[in-house]
Amino acid sequence: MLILVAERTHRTNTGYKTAILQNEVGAKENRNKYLRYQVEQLESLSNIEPKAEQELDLYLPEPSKVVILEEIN
Amino acid sequence: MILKGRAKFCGLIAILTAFIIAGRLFYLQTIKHEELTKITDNRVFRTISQEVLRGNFLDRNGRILAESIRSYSIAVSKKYVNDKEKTFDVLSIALKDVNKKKLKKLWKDKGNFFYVKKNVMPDEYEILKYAINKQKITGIEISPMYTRLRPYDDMAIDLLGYTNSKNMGLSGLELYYNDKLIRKTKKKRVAKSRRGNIIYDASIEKKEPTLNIYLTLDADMQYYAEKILNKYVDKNQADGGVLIVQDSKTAEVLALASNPRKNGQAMAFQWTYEPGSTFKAITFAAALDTNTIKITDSIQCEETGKWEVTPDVFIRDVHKAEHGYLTVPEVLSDSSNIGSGKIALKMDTKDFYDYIKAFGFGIKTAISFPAEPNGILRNWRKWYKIDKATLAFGHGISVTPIQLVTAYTALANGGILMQPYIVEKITNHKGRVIKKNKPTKIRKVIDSSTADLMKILLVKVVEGGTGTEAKVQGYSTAGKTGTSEKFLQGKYSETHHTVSFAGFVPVEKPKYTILVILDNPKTTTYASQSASPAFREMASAILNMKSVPQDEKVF
Repeated sequence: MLILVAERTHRTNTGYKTAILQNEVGAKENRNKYLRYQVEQLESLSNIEPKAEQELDLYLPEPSKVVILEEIN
Repeated sequence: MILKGRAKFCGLIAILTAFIIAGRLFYLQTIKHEELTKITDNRVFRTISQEVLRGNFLDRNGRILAESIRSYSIAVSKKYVNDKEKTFDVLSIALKDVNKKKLKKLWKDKGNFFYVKKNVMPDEYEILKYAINKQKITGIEISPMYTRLRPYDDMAIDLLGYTNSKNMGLSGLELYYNDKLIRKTKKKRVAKSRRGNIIYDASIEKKEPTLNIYLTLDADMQYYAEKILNKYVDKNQADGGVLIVQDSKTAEVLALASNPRKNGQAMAFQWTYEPGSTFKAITFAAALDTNTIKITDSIQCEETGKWEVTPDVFIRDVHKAEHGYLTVPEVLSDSSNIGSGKIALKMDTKDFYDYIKAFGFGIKTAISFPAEPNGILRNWRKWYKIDKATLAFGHGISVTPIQLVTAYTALANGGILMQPYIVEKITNHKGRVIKKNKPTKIRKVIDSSTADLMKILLVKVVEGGTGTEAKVQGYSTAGKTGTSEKFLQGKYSETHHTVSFAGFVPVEKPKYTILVILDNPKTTTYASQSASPAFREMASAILNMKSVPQDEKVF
C-alpha cells in the first residue's frame, strides 16, 4: 500500500515538473521565434538601405558604374 | 463445546465476510471495471485543445514574410489586486506604451476587469512575469493569444493578406492556403489536479504538423519593386499601378507590387485593364508565326495619320505621326496603330483568336490566388472588322497583368508559355518538403524562330523607338510601351489613360521579364515618359543586385 502511495506521489511530482519544463520550453521557443523575427527585421533592406544612404552616404550604383564579371570555374 | 461452537460461528462469519469482500472486489474490478475506470478518468483526465501555431510564409531564400507567435493579453482584475500602487509601477515599467496616467484612468473608468494591453510580445511578457513574482503582486491576469508578425511590415501584404485574431486567414494567400497553414487543433489528454493544474500529459494525439509555405518571391526584389512603383506612381500622380517581375525561364513570380496596396488584393492577379500597345507584340508574333507578314514587308501607315477602317470609323496613330510606308520593325518601334491594325486584318480571324488564346488571354492563369478573373476576350465569331483592327493594338480586350507578363515571358523563352506560379514549396515543421512546384510548360505558342524575330523587333523598340527610356545601360533590353484610353461610363476617355511597359533583360539569355503599369497618370499620357523609366530602374536594381554580367559594353 505504501509503495503504491509513494509511486503515485512520485508520479504526480514528476508530472508537475514535466508540465513546468514543457511550459518553459514553449516560452523559450516562442522567445526564439521572436528574436528571429527581430533579426529578420534588422536585416531587411527597408531597414538597411535608409541607414546606408543617410548615415554612410552609400547608394545603389548606376549600372553604368559597375562592371560585373562572369564567374569562370 | 460451547466455545467450539462460537469459534465455528465466528470462523463462518469471517469466511462469509471474506467471501463477500472478495465477491465485491471481483464485481468492482472485473464486472464494473470499465464503467468505474471511465468515471475516474473523467474526474482526473481532461482532453484539452491546444492551438497549433499557424504556419509561416517565407520567401524563396527562406526569409520570413509572415509568422505566428504566442503573445499575451494583460488585464487587471481589481478585486484581486493586493497593492494598487505596486501593480501600476510594475505594469508601467514592464509594458511599452503603458503609463501610470493611463492605468489610473482605466482603473477609474472601467469596471472590475479591464484590459491593459493586448499583443504583448515575449520580451515584455518575461519582464512582467519576473516583476510580478518579485513584487508578489496579485490581480494581473495574463492570457495567451496569437499574433501574426511580418518582419517587413506591410511588404507584399496585397499578396499575403490578413488573418483574424482567431488565427483564420481572411484574404490573399492567407485565405487561399488557410487549411494548410492552420491544420487541425492539436488535442492532448492530460491529468489535472483538483485545482485544475495540469499534472502530466497522459497521451498526445498524433500531432498535425504545421506547414510552412515558401513563395517564389525574393524579399529584396520585392522591396525594390514596391519602392520603385510607389516612386513612379507619386511622380506621375497616377491613381495606382502594378509592377511584376517574373523569371523569364520558369515564369516564377519573383516580385509583385500593387499601388494602392490593399491587403489580400493583388492587382497583379485580380485587376483587368486594356493593355494598349504592349499587346502589339502578341499581334506581331501571331502574324509572323502564321507567315501573314515577313520582317522585310512594308505596311502603308497612311500619310494623313488616320485610316478609315469602315465608313466613318477611323484609327489614328497616337503619336500623330504621318508615316507613309513603314517596315514591319518600324511599325512596332514607332507603335503605329494603323500598321498594326492592317497586319491584324491580313490574318485569318480564327487564327488570330487562337494565338491570343494560346498566349493565355481570356482564361485564368490558375496562379493559386483567390478571385482571379479570366479577363475579357470576345469570341472571334462576334468580331467586326473594326474589333479585329483595334484588338491588334490592345483595345477591346481586357487582360490581367499576370497574363500579359506571362505572355512576354513566352516571347523571351523561345515561344514556350510557362505556367506562372507563386508558391515554390510547402514544407512541414521539420523542413521536409511536402509539395514542390516545378516549372511547367503549358504549350509552345510560337516557333522559336518567330520568338527570335520578336526579340529583334522588341530590341528595336528600345534602341530607337518609343521605348528608349527603358534601355538599361550595359544590358540588351527588349520591350514595348503601351498607352490605352480607359473605358469609362460606356466610352473611351480622352483624359484617363493606362500606361505600361513590358519587356525582358538581357535579351540573349533573358533572366527577368518585367511589367510596369501606371493607372491614369496625370503628368503624362505617354508610357515612354513614365512606365519605361520605371522599368529601367527596376531592371537596373535587380541586375545589379543579382550580379548579372553585362552583355554590352559599358564604357
